[in-house]
Amino acid sequence: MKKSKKEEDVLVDTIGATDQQKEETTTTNNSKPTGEDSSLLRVLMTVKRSLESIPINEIKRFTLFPDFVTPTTAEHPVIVRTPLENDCIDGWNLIEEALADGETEIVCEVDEVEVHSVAENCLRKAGMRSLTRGGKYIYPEMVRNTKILMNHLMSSGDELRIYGHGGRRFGEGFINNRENDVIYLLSLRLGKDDTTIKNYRCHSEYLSDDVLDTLIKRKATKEFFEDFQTKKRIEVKNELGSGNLSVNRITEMISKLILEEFEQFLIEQENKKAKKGKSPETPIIATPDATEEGEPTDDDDDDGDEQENPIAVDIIPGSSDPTPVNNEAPVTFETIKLQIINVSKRIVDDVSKEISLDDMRKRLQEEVLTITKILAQIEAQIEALSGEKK
Amino acid sequence: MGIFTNFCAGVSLPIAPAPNVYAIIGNAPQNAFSEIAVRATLEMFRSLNTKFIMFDSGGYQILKKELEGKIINFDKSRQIICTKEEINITPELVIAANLKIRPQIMTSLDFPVPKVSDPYQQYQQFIKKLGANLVWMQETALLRQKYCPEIELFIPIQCYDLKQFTDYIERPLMELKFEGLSLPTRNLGSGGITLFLLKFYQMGIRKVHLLSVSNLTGLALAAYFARNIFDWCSVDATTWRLNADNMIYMDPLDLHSVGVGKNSSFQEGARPLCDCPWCAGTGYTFTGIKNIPQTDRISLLRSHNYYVVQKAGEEFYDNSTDLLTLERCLKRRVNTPLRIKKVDKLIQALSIATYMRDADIKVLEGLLWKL
Repeated sequence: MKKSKKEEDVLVDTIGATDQQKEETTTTNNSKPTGEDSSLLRVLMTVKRSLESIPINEIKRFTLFPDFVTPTTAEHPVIVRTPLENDCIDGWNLIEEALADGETEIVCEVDEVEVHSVAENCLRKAGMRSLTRGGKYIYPEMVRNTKILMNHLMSSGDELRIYGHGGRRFGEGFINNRENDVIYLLSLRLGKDDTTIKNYRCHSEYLSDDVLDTLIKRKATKEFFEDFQTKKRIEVKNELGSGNLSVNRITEMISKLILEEFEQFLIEQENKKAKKGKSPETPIIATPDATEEGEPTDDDDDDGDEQENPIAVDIIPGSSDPTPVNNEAPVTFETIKLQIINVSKRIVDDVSKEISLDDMRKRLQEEVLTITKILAQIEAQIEALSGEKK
Repeated sequence: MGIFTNFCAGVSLPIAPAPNVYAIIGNAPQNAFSEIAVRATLEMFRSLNTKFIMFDSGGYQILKKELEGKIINFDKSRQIICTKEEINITPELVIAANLKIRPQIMTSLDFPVPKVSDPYQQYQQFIKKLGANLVWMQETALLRQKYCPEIELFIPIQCYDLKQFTDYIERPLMELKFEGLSLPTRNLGSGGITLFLLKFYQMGIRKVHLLSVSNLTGLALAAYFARNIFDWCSVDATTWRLNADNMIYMDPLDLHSVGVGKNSSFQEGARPLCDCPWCAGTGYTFTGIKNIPQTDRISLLRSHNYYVVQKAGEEFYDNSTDLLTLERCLKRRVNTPLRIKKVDKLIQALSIATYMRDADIKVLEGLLWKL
């Protein structure tokens, strides 16, 4: 393994590193870097990038951050060369294939850095898929990765600026408020809008690591997480409001609930697909994620910047629409279907009662109005979809 | 010792601020314009374990439509209409709505006077609305007596000053059967509200509802009157929700607005001094609250804002045993000179209410109106 600096010049970020790594490394400066200490600014930047053949036994799989479930689409494994080792942060499957073929060396994309930093390696690995180098990520992976990185960076005490821009832009965007700075850093390193990072973080709240892993394995979509968030919000509000302030208990409850809801979601998706196959003329309104499960899309950032003074929306039931729906929920095929089912239920409910013809007429008139509004929503969705296709 | 109640206004089930909402005020145009809306409203009361229901007639919705230049109809041959473009409401429709909802308290239909400061404009508005208000309070009272005497009737008083009330409204009002009065507070300060409440007291009224109250002094005033002067004094406001929609966090102490929108910034680690389960219970810093995605943040703010208003009202009622205790309680919550001055004025007004409640109303007017 090549080393570009002498051992005594090596700086090591020991947070998250194994004891062995710590022992192997000579640290010349343990103090936290400051904005003025420009010698530390360079160290986390890539100082050299090359394509070179490396003996496989000199490559170490970087396991301190989870792998993506989808194998890389890159031609070569991606290696971070630190003064300590060659860490493979993506494409381990290619190395395994080479070993199986009896190869002893493999051509790798090598990024060389001057310091061994576990946190930096984690950030590089997490950003590998969203910054289009290594292939595809799935939504729950970004949720989990954000959770891991947020927790680590919030509690580490690291100088965050060394993970951000280098050179003249060093420290740009950081405001010395750790939580804001971590979010900013993740948006830089994962290539996502800060609103998206906040959404990832919010979607991981009250979910156990095991449940997140399950959702990754089962390739839960962004659409599912967004749908579930509405339920989660109400459940958490009610739990806290009832005096249950135990994070563990709420996590247990929400983790159980999300798995149940996911099963239900999959059934509904299957039904939707079946219907689509049967009647092609039926418009299926689906978010891009739902078309191919787990596929990353460019619309992760579609949450939109919040307005500084958003206009208050009148959400008193029926202020404009007689069907009480959750105004926060986006109009989707499912919400439209739900509205139609509600209308049908109400009509069945009404006709099964003993009501006068006059009342019957009034109620049906109301439902006709509701149906026309549902039709308007369908028209709008069809128009939006045809606009997208064009 | 009477009852103080803070009614949660502008609520629907998806945006409810807590799992249980003890008292809710709805209104006929929005909560009972159709069978479906009625069902949704009843379901909301059931789900939120609501014990006290007040049902407003929809005067505020008429005022909003008037200010927006939309269509306003009073056609009893049609059903209630409340769309973006039009409103249709009459005393008959209000009664029909109340028969479906069955609240404990209803209000008669009114045509509110808007907030204007110019005396001539005030006179113009008062004259413009007076006829409708007198006719509707009479019609609603008669219909209530006929169809739902078990529902308590509160009559809203729409005027700008005491003279307008005594010269034009008092006499026709006293010919009607009703349980309480409802007082819009948008045109009045602490002194003005106290003056009206003392006038009502002298008329023998013992139940009052104050519309649109969620500020510190307004809540304290209502709580004090409930505990010491009236049998019932309630308030309502949609501030908890409107503030949340505008990304405003209400300070738990003096209820002032703290913006937690996109462009707000906070010192690292700054935490709200709040004991509500939604913000403090989860250990959020202000930065943490600001960094919650918008929809979830609005939800949290609704819960928090409602909690702090509710808690302040309860605390003021508990501390209304005497004026000194209430003053101490209020002054523990405020620290800016402006707010301290407001508290001082309130305490002055309440001292007059405590010790001079039976004095000549003209004398009280001289003391309170310009306070």
